[in-house]
Amino acid sequence: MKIKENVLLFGFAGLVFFIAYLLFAGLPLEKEIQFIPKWTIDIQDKYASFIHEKKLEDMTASSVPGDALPFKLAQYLGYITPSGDVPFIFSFPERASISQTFWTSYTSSASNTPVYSVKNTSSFTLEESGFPHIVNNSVYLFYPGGNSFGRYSTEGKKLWTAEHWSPITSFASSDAGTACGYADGDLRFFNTKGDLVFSMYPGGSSYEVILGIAISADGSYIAAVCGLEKQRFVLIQLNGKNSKIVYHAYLDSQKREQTYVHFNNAGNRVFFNYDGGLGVVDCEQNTMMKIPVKGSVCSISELESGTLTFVLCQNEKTWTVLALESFSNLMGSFSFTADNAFMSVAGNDLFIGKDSKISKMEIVKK
Amino acid sequence: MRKAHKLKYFILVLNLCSVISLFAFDWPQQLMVPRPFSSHFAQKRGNAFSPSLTFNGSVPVTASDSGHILLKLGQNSNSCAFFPSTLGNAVIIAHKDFLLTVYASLESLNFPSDKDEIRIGSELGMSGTSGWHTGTGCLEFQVIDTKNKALINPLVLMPSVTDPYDLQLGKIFLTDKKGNTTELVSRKSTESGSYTLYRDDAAGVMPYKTTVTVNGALVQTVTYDALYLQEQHLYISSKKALPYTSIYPENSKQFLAEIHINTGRTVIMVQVFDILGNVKQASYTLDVL
Repeated sequence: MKIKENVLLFGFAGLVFFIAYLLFAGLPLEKEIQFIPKWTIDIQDKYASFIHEKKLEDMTASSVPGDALPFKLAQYLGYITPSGDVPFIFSFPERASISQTFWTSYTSSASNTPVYSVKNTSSFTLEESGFPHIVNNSVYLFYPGGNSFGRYSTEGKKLWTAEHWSPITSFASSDAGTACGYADGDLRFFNTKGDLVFSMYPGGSSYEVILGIAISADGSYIAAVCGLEKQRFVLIQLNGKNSKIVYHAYLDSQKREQTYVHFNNAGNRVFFNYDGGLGVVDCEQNTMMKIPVKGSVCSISELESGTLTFVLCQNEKTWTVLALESFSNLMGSFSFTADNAFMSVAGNDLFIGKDSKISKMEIVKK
Repeated sequence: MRKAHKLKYFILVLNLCSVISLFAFDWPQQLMVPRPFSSHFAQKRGNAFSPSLTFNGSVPVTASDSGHILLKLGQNSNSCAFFPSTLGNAVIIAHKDFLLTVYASLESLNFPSDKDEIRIGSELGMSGTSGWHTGTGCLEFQVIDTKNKALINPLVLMPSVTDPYDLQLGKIFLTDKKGNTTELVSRKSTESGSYTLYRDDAAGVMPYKTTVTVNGALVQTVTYDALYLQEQHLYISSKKALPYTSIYPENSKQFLAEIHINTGRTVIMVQVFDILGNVKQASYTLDVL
């Protein structure tokens, strides 16, 4: 009698499971991110053929297509097109800076440094000593001593300078202005004319210092990682001299080195590297998510569609690329070993540089 | 306005004196002879005051005093994501009394990355060429007073140097309001009016202090003990704020004083001092028409 009841029970359960399986099997699977390799090039080979074909004097007058991406990898800088062409490549002996429109190579005793435009043949000279830093169309020169910098026009004319009593420890630039963090914990924001909009000590820690800083593209927010004992993240809403901290979070551990901070394209999310992870703050909801990361974050880029964000992290010679959906959901990652690496995103393509190789991967959801 | 500036300067000097009297550092490296320093605090460097005392020699660098490691710079020098600090590989240490010390242009950073506190004399790394430099490269050392928001001449806080500095007065120039410059010689005639006195800044080491007296009355003292900030520019505090463009208006000129001379015989005495109090001086007699 008991056996008969059990058989009926198991039979019924099996029938229910079978019907449920038939129903759910018909539903489409959730789409997965796929990295489809498109091509890989060797930049040493490209460099060899480039200098073989071009005269040295042509190298600064190279015509670079508008969709070409700048890259700096080991001792090479250049531009690479989505199809894998390298219209311009240069081997720099010491240091270099490159953006979509300008590039320069300089030495440790840099003075009168030429800056080259890739859009035409013109170039200009930064007629002072220091290390150049090019961010998109903005040209800066960091002067000897580490506590001052100047902004220059795209013709090389000095527009304005800013000095300070303590060393610059973090720096960010956007179309809205220039933000600078200093070793004594001072955080300064300058408008495009070089006027000091505000100076602020975020404080809240036993030792004040600004380790990382970023400005949103529209100039609504500045984000910074600051202080020791206890280190904290602050989000500042820019409103002239009335700028104020609108969100902050103390961090469980602390770094004692420059820290990467980055706003997304829309300016409503900010990413920051802390000791052991990546913080993602929603600037509208004032909420924070944490993603564990080994090593230091060195680059963050998002797809044109805004659906995926890629994060490049370095832990000694191991580099890891994280893919985040909706800015904070970790969808996947891959790692590789290299001395030098870079990451860039254009459209829906991911470009990864690894020592002398650059690869393009198409990102699709299938 | 001038009274307010004088009062501010007086308070800053008082604060600085209190810091100096309470505190002194050890040399951050062994001193090379005969020239321990390649450039001095507030010396012309590029187109700005040098905030650093720059040492000669590639030797181990040690902490000048016990403190808390604030920051290591230069770990990401090859990354596009970070700005290129001209300090290269550098360590910044926070000390008591609101002082920071900066050890820059190190070849490498030789201490455990998880270390928070550091003791006086602990090795930080080798001096090198990682920062902006000319010549052979060397340690760049800075002292910052965060309370008074000033860069301090490190020599003020260091033990005395036993070897004398190569202190020289150099040529002295007199510039009138129209910008005409003449070199001062022992006996000279000139017109009455206001003038600016300069010295040849390439002569000898950077002086710690300069004074100018006219007919025995002290007209102006410029002391290179600290750099302050005003409207985004560092300045030396004297009778008024002297920014870089006032101290070094053009090549080979270093500001000494603004003077006014009246008709008659005028004796101008110029003195330059090093940090030890050694002095070089010269007097010039002018027949003022």
